[in-house]
Amino acid sequence: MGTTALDDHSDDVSDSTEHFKPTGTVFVLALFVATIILLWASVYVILLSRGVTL
Amino acid sequence: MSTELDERPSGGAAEPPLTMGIDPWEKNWMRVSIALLVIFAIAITIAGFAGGFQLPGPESELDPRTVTQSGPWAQPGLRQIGDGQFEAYVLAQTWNFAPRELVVPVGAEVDIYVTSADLQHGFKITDTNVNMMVVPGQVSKLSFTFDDIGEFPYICTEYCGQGHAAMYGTVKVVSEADYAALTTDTATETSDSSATQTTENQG
Amino acid sequence: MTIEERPATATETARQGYELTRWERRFIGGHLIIAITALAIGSLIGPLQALEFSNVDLYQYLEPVLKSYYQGLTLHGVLNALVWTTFFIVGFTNLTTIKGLGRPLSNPKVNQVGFITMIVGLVMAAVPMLLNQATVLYTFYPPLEASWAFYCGLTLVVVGSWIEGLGFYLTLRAWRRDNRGVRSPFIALAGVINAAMWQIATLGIAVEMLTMLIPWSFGITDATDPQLARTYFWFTGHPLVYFWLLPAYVSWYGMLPKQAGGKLFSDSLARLSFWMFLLVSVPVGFHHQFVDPGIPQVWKWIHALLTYAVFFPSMLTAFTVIASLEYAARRRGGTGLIGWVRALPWDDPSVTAQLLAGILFMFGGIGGLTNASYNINLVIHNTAWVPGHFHLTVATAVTLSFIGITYWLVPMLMGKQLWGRKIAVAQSWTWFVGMVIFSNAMHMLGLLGAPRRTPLGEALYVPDEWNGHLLRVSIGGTILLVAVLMYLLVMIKTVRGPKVEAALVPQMPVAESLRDPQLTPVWLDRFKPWLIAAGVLLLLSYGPQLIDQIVHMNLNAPGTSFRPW
Repeated sequence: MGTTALDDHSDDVSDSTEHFKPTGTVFVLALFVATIILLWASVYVILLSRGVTL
Repeated sequence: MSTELDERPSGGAAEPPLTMGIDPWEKNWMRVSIALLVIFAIAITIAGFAGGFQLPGPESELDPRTVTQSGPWAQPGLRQIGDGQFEAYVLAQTWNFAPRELVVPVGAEVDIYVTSADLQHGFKITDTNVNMMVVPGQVSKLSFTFDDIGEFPYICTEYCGQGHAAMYGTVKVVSEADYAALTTDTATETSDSSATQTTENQG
Repeated sequence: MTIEERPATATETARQGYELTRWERRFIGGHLIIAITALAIGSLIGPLQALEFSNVDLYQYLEPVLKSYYQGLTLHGVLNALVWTTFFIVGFTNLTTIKGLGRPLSNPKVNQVGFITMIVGLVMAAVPMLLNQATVLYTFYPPLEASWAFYCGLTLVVVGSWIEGLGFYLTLRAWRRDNRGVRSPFIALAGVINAAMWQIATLGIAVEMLTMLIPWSFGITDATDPQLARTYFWFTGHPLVYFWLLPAYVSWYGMLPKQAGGKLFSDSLARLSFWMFLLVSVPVGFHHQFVDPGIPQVWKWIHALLTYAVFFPSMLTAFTVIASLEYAARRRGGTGLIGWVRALPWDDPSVTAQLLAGILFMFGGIGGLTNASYNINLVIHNTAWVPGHFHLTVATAVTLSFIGITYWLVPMLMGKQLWGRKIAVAQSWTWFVGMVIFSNAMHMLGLLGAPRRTPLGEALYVPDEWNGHLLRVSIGGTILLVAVLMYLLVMIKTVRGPKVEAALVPQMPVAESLRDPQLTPVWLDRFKPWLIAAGVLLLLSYGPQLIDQIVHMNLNAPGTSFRPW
């Protein structure tokens, strides 16, 4: 949702006057995504191990 | 409104274009986020609608004021409906489950029907995926196959007053041999082994 | 890397120069006094629950005041989750509206009436709670029946917050008339978006109160439809958590970057995420009713997907807020992939509180995503996992952020300095440590099947394998008690401290964005399209089920013939 509108402006960052690249942010968020997958999947596995309900 | 939509920035003389100004890294982050959510959505959908890890849904409705007088919850308990197949009718009532015990042979497929005669309650069988709200006027149903021998408490998971912490029962999953011995002991009561407990609970 | 600065525009400077009047300071302060008092009383009761898990029953010594665990839990929940949050948020939105726009409220009488209504409602609800006449916890689940005064009082609190919301909206409208073509200042716009979302969301609880609970509690009707009541309740119940969270986001986006010495990384995305919250906060309520009997699975599944959609703006927030902090840290000389974090001003109690709140919120978010994941909810529904989860979100991401805000806001309103900065920093760390222990243990208990809202110390079905976790809940709760006492000490000493010269009084931090907000597209500054879209989405996602349940309404559940607590 909304992504098509965002994509229309895909190269517009050039109008910004600064050159800050958020590399540290990307690193922190990569750790975050890994944690999401790990913890979410661990509960998903518990669900699968406890038997069907249908 | 329409004139306001035509507004252009009043700040710079050069009037740069109106943009979101999204950092390319941030755009990639959006893609990662969406991909992650889509993958999770597929995983739960497949497990739910193809794999049988399904939620309870509308089963039937009844009048909680008369539920103990007639119908299956007038005599809650376990009934055998086929080879290894059972129905369990459990009545939640402040602060007891009737029956307090469901004894089934290992491998039993049980359709579990729960309703309440008074307040909202919860019904969760420990170490299984059976977890339902029990709402007066509604029948909650899930089916479960008990593949492991052992005792599995079913616990009231919704606050229902002072005795809430004492409100639980137990599913006892026993071996085929033990179950056969048990059913011959109680002779005639194979189809409703819990009738006596029920009267006790409601006293 | 080089970092160039955008100088503040003239309008930004002028807005920030607005000085609060004495009336405004007292009015905002009035909200905060009630909020902090509620937090104090509610939080002091919390550890009683945590200790009960280890069989330390302090309730027996409090018998004249608190009759039971459940009365204590009711007070803890209502005071902390409803009163502290709502009064703080409404007071804070007064501030962001006035200071954000740089002008007084357009209709201060409206806000005054709203505030008085909230106070009347609070008193009305507090009396039955204290008299043990409303020990129903903070969910309105008939046929568990509280005193009529409890229902009427909480209804008035919500109505009062609507009236104040109207006051914010009128003020923003007046500002827009005088500033055509200028983008609304982010913090003011965000506060009003939250108020608008709240007004839509609370329609559910309003209908539940007015059509079912209040007539029933007065004895006009005999019975209730509990399934329909649950649907009404959760129409409001989930957006309620965004109503709590969004003011914390206002601070994280609009203030914290300034406090850390930087700027808002993306004005556009900050706005976009708020509009997305307006759009998708409400049509998600069935994810609290996944294991309800009376709702078709397909509607539960649709709401699960919509809940995934509302996770997206929080992911945007994670990027924008962390990037804003990284920008600040690099300006302060921070280096390395992760080492920059150390360069943030960890000696500033307000910053530390919000950073720690944000860190725990990442884990709260993961738990929330798990809760929303359709059948995964079978594993944790109504288990101790759930309070474990919302103690990371409302009790840390929100509460610790609000505490951090009070560290500059209370001194600012009173013309004083914060007392005991080091104690205040330690307070946040204590809260953090206590909450990590407490909530981790609660999550583990939930996975093992321990029910929520239950005095597990006296429960008969508790196996030995739960004991270690139960003990950790008690330890975490006790550490949190220390953190609460430290906070109260800092607040009391600050309030009682001497007035200081203006230069020493903290200023309100308002972060400028890296790019000129005038470059933000106009569609991110307009209410109408977003409100229409929200209405349409709501009709599609809730309409069919609501109509079905209302048409088939069956008022046949009278409850118990005795008071069940």
